[in-house]
Amino acid sequence: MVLGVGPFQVRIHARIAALTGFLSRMYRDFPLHPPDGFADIRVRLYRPRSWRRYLQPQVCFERDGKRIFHPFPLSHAPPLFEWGLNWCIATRAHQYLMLHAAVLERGGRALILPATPGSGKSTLCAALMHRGWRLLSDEFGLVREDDRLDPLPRPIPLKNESIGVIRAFAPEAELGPEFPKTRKGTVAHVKPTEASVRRMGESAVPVWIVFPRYQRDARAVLEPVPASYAFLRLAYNAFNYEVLGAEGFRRVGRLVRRCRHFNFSYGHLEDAVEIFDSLAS
Amino acid sequence: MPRSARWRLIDRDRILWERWPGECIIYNDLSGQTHLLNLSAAAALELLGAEPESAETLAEKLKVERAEIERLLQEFDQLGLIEPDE
Repeated sequence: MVLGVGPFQVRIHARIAALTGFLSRMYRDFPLHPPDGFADIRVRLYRPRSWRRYLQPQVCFERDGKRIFHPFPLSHAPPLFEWGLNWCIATRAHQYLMLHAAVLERGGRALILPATPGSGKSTLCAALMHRGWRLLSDEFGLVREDDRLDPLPRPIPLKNESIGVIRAFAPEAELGPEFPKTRKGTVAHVKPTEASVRRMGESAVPVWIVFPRYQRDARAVLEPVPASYAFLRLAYNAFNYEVLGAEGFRRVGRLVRRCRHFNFSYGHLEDAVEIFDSLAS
Repeated sequence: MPRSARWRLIDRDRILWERWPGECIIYNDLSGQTHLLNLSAAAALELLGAEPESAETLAEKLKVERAEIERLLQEFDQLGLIEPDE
């Protein structure tokens, strides 16, 4: 199949039941393109022809005929697909400045949440998506040459306790199966909302850069930060700042000049939603 | 460092600047490195981009201690931003 995922067309070759089921559910709103048509990214997931086919079966990930990563347990084919696709995008899509960030939109204006350890980015992103924000991406801030952000909505991976947090916060959220004992613990994915996928051809203007930090039971505090601080954190957080060289420097500079920038600490999702709602009002 | 040694930017056209009140960030296209500069360092680098300067003349123009300028020039040299003007 060739799946339209944001600005990319992804050819997926796989005969793995767990993955087929995951794709048909998590990507059911996404457009399918002619199977013999152009594809930006070509991946194949397959079971190796070895004794591993039968004993503790495994799955491998290939891009353009070349195997990427060590094999995963067969039951982890869906998270392998998601992480593999992230890798394919991060190593190729250099027409963009690619921020490692969640991006959401309201009223045509984009909120950028750069990812840092302990930020709770994905949980926050899933929560905001279910409170009136359109998901552009959980993982990639795709900054174009004209500084607008292109959408790349994908299933949002939640880890461990966050799975239960989002189930409680947004009972309407559609979660996929849980995958225990992955390299990141137990992982489950939140399906992007139909509205997020339907509008994935609509770019957004970046307006806010907010560096989130989750701290259990902490009061929600939104604090402006200097432009230089925002610049350096964005630059070193981006997947391809160094690859882009001078152009990367210029794009980050324009982004910082265009946006308001904050640190944000929070301990409760409802407080976070309230803060971002008032930011957007 | 010899007293009269003069320094210059290696290539002024390969330094990109982002300036804000109180600080700036530069990108050196020759090294691919990004640097955060305080006001004194930024002013010194701008002067070196206009014409070669010695530690003595920089200290005089910027009204800072010569020792501080010499440390700064050493750091700029190590970062590949400047070279001796020979």
